[in-house]
Amino acid sequence: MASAILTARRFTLSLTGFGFLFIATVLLAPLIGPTKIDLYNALFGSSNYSENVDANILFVARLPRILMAALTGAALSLAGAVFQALLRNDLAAPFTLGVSSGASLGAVLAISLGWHFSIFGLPAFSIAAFMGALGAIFLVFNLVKTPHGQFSTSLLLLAGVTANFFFASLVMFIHYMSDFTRSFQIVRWLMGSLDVTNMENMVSVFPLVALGTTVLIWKARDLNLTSTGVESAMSRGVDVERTQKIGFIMASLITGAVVSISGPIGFVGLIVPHIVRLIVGPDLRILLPASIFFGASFLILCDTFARTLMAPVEIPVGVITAMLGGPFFIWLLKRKPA
Amino acid sequence: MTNPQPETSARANKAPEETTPSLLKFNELSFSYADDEVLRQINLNLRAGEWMGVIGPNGSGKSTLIKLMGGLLKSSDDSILFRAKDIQSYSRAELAREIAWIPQETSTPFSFSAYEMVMMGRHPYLKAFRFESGEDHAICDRAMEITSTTEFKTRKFSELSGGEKQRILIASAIVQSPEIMLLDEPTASLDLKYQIQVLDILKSLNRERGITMVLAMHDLNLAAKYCHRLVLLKEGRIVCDGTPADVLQKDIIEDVYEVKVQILKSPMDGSLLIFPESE
Ligand SMILES: Nc1ncnc2c1ncn2[C@@H]1O[C@H](COP(=O)(O)OP(=O)(O)OP(=O)(O)O)[C@@H](O)[C@H]1O
Ligand SMILES: [Mg+2]
Repeated sequence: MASAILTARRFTLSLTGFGFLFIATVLLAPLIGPTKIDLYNALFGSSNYSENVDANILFVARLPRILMAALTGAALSLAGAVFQALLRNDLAAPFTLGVSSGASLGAVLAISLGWHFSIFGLPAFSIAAFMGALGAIFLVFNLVKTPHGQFSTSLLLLAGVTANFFFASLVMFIHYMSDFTRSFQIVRWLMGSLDVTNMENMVSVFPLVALGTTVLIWKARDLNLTSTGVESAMSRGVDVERTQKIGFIMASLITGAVVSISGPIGFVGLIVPHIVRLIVGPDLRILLPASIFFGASFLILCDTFARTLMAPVEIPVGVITAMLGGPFFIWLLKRKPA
Repeated sequence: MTNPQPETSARANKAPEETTPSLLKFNELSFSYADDEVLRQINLNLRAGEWMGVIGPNGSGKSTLIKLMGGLLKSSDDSILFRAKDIQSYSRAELAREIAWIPQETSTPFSFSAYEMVMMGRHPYLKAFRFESGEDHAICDRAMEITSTTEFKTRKFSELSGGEKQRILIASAIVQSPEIMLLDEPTASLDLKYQIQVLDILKSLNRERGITMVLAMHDLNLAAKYCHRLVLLKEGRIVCDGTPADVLQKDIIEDVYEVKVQILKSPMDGSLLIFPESE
């Protein structure tokens, strides 16, 4: 299946499958949690949340958080698949490239400086996160770039790890220099959790994620070709430089957008494209949309674990994804020939 | 194979007449990647239907010349003309519909199938958000027949042998339906059978579809057998440009390659055979 060429029929079938998985997760996950809720009462009982506890838990506590997990998981997975194609390396992801920590640096800087303005409804810390993400990928890409467009895996990973350390140390520095209130806000944010967020921020970054997603899916075939080599892609009519620019900017945009609202959640962008590629094959025209659905479901599931595993204590979801992602990354690394 | 006739004479491929219009023209082209000039004062005129072999020692600039012909490297204004217009003035897609380029090696970290790799050659004809049409599929199937690759259509490209990969890449160049095919050492990693197979495929494309061929080659005997015209490079300069008989002369080859050679005529088809002597 994965090796057959993409046709409209195969596209529809695969996407329907992943779509169902996504809908099922979104519908079932809110029902799971430390407090049992009466679904009938939640849906059809009193519409006054202060007297209807079931509705309150479902619609105020759980559903927004699930939508948040969906948006974050989808965006990070999409960005991961795009970075992998652009860098011709399946170990590339927002987290391993240092893009997530670049975004963190931006967001933390904005929090510590107490920036409250917004541009076009976008909060300052989201804009700062986007700038941080873009700066990180620019740095890493220019470190590993060769005229032939070949990237050595070890150099790429080293550059990513180094960028990670560098940004993390700056984050620590800012954190250390901040006053008590700001410092507390920063810690909460850095935990990579989905609970501190509010709907308002999510709504404000959603258009950004939607824009980035549309552009990237529109460029899917150019990205496919770029992943077979810069000069090969050029000789088949791809404007590679433009594709790289658009790809890096849009993938950083959506990474920055979701990192700014949910904190640095690692490894999602690494794990999800891999699993989806095993199912639908490497063609980004289907890999990208399928990763959106699967990534959303994946992070919702991880977050459900995070909420229930040690209830009533909630583990930050970033801890869960890192516990899955660490071994996964090592396994991928070992599997590589050189 | 599409070209089963036994070879009688390499010279049966007549070079096109001088009057055929020029496809690619180099005017005093010089090129450097960084500071050092890699190609110097290149003047060339490639005519439609020609089969040109580019030969020369390692590092003499063959790959660079071929990439420049495909517009893949930046050349100075009007130093390379494609159909009498600066090659830089064409869009990538416009060039891709006219010129196909096959690198010496292609790799992808992802598991694209052989068929998907062939279909990538259709890129300059496709629109975003669209799937390939029945016509695109028919074109790819036909190209895979020509290159005898139909049997591994669904196999992963990355798991094919060197010869199989090379044929898939030729198929992907065919579906670009180009006027010119540029191939960088297409036979370098192939065994004897595949070398002949690949070159025979190219020969039938050159004869039957009139596709202009430019090949960088190391094997002088194969170059002598298949090319109408040879361009010999040394340290980025054209030392000699002419028929195999003009270029493959004992003193020229000995001077450029710094090896003693014997040159004989093949008893079979009269093409030249070059034997290096060890010290
Ligand atoms: N991307 C590059 N950046 C810098 N220098 C390069 C680059 N590619 C090639 N060169 C240099 O340009 C010169 C010509 O290289 P080129 O690859 O064109 O030679 P070639 O004739 O194809 O050699 P070979 O027979 O080994 O394939 C060499 O000195 C090489 O080191
Ligand atoms: Mg070369």
